[in-house]
Amino acid sequence: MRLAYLWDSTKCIGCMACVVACPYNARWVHPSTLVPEKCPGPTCIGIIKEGEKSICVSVCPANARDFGDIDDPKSSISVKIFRNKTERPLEPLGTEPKYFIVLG
Amino acid sequence: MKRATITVLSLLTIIVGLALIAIGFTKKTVHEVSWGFLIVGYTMFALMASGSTVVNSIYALFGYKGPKEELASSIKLGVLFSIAALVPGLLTIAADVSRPWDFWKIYVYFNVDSNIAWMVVLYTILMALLVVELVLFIRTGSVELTGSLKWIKPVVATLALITTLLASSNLAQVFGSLISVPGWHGLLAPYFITVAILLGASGQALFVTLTLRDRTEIVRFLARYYGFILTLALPVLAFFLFWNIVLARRSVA
Repeated sequence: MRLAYLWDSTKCIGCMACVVACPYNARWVHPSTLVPEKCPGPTCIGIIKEGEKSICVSVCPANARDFGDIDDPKSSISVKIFRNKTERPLEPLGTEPKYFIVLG
Repeated sequence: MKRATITVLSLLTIIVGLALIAIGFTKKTVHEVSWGFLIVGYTMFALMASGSTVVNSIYALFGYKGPKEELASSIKLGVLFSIAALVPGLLTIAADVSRPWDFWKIYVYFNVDSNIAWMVVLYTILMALLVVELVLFIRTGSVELTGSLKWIKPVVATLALITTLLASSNLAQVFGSLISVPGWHGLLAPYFITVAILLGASGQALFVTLTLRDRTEIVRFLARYYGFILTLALPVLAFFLFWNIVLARRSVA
């Protein structure tokens, strides 16, 4: 099952309930439009569509971050997940986050 | 109270209220939580209206009128206070959301899983019921309706009480259902209903006794009446707070 997330900006009233409710603190209020956004934001989505890695991965000086297709076993992120002991934040909630933290 | 004094007091209250909304506008986010001062203000006014409606039901539904029918003289002011408390609540929530002009979309694209969607619907129904109740009390006073109209007052009062209890408990779970803020997570409904009764009774006590202050006999009774409600509600609130403090020691928050 491949899950997707959709936000319809034409229906949003800007109550910020989603920002408060997100257990991962992964949402924020855009300073000019005053509506909620989440990672990856529109800029990163544009970059990812062009085949590049997201901004946070590009700027990391120690190469501590990675991004890619975990359905592809040969992608760099799949290899790293396979080779390292990892955990995902708040796993007991059953939200199946696609964010992995390397423990060592 | 003289008309000029009332006008000055009303204008001052409106100015202070607008100033507080302006301050709240700059404090929409407190620490990391995106619900700031305006949400606090909204919750206070919404609970005040809910609690005031519960207090009104003592007369409107359960029929207690006081030894000399003092409540019959003050019930219209009580219902008016419930409506009046909802107005600043509506203003503060409109100031808090980024797109208040899109509020109607909550009704059109209604999400049954959303506590906020139910909150909007329940408080809309409550406002409508309170207006109907006020019109009934203004048109008929304390006179008992007869014949086919006999059922109207108790039915409206029952619906208002049920709606206000649902609205305030649902408002509690707007906060209580969030796992992202462990300090809020849990069954907050009994706590919020108790706070609502305290806010409603104390707000009504100020409003009604100030308005009727020339009628000493009624005010004397009302002071005891509201005092009795607050005396009952305060220990209940203290009980809930005691358990909040005990549980906070074990909270992960």
